[in-house]
Amino acid sequence: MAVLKNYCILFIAIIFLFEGCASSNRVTQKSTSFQKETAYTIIFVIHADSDYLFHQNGRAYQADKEALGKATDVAINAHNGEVFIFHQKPKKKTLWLFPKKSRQFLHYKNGALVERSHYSSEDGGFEAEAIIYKANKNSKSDRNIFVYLGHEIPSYEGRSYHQSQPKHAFNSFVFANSLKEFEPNFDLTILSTCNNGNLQTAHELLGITEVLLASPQNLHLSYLDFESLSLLENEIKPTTLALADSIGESSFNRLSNSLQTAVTVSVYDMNRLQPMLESTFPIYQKYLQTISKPVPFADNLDCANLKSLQGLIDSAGVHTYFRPAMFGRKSNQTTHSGWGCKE
Amino acid sequence: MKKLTFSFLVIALIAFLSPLKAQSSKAQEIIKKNINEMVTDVERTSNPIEKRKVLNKTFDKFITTIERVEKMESVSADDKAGLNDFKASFVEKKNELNGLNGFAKVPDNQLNNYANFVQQNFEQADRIVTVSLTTVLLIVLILLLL
Repeated sequence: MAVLKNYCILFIAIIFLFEGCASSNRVTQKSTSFQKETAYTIIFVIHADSDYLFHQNGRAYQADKEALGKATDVAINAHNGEVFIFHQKPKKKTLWLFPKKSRQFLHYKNGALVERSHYSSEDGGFEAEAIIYKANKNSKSDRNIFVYLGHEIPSYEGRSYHQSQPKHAFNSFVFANSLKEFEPNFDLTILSTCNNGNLQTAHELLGITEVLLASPQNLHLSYLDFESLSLLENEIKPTTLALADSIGESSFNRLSNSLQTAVTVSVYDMNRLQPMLESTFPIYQKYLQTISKPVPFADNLDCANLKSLQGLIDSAGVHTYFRPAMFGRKSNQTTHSGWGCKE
Repeated sequence: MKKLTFSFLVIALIAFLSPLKAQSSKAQEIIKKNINEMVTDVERTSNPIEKRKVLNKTFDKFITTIERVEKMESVSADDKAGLNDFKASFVEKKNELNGLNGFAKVPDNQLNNYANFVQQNFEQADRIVTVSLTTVLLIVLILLLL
């Protein structure tokens, strides 16, 4: 009997021990602020599965880690919002055999962290992220914003985009379809990437986002700034176009003060641009077929300088912040159409 | 014998830079670190002649490296095209520095900014060089030996 008692104690102790060891990622504290309705939702997807090293003033930085800091700042200050942060770190394996959940998910509600967990993904798009989002979003919001930070979302194939999962394709088509898995449409989509202010990406996003903020040329890895998202906390909320403009302008000011290369940031009013995109995109597609093999990740050309599109590119509906490079062949360029094209 | 030693060095470098999937990133990082050293050296000296020397020396180092890799038989035609673009970007920057091929010479008081321009220009591109892993490793290997 005493032996049985000892076994029972041991069994209970083991249960407690394992309970103690199991890491519960859900932040269990509840406060009344969590019950508040959220006025807006922001989803940040930060790609980290590639080379993101850059230098500034001699110091080395990892762009994805800097971006995570920026996103977290937004989340902490979003007292009336809900913020989802997905950090897409490279896939890792324990002992080179067992897959690890290496991607990180952070969920903030009304400025407080309510969940932190790890997950893995088996596709090139955002299927895993969308599932987590749907499982965790428990409030309705007036405004939905999607922010992607990473390298250029390729127009073609997109294999090798995720360096640890090179077979999983990621391109503008996959991106646009992935967005629909989160929400049927977004008020604002921000692409903190190189070259995605282009006809193809914009065409893919028609009907998915009302406003697009992107760079039609290369964008430095210090990325765009998101402090202006705090305008959503104001009693009088800015229109989505005004919000995008504010983010574009503050990013442009900081980038053009610290960089010697060209800085181009554009805000696209998608509803206004729809007729132009629908008529011009097929022509651009035909042009793309004439390029023998577009160089992946090469800087775009201003579409206004592309012969096949001359007279067709309309910048009405696009607000572009542009400062040419301080050196190089294009340092004399004074204007930009806001549209980047492959050459 | 020379070929054998060279092959051994390449294999050793590949093994050193494991795991496999991260090799390309690490190789690109080594190239970025080389360019960062150039910027730091340019900014460290106040003498414009020295600044130009550092910039020209770095550009020449990269151009020589790329030319050596280009000459290798094992390098594919696609990689040769990628190498050619990579080399052209250094030649272009060297021309601008020295006021050749239609460029106005970079003024002495702009050399720090020019070094930063070169670095930002390479680092903001999504891939510093678009060639296969083997070829980028060869670049790094020769770069380290020069």
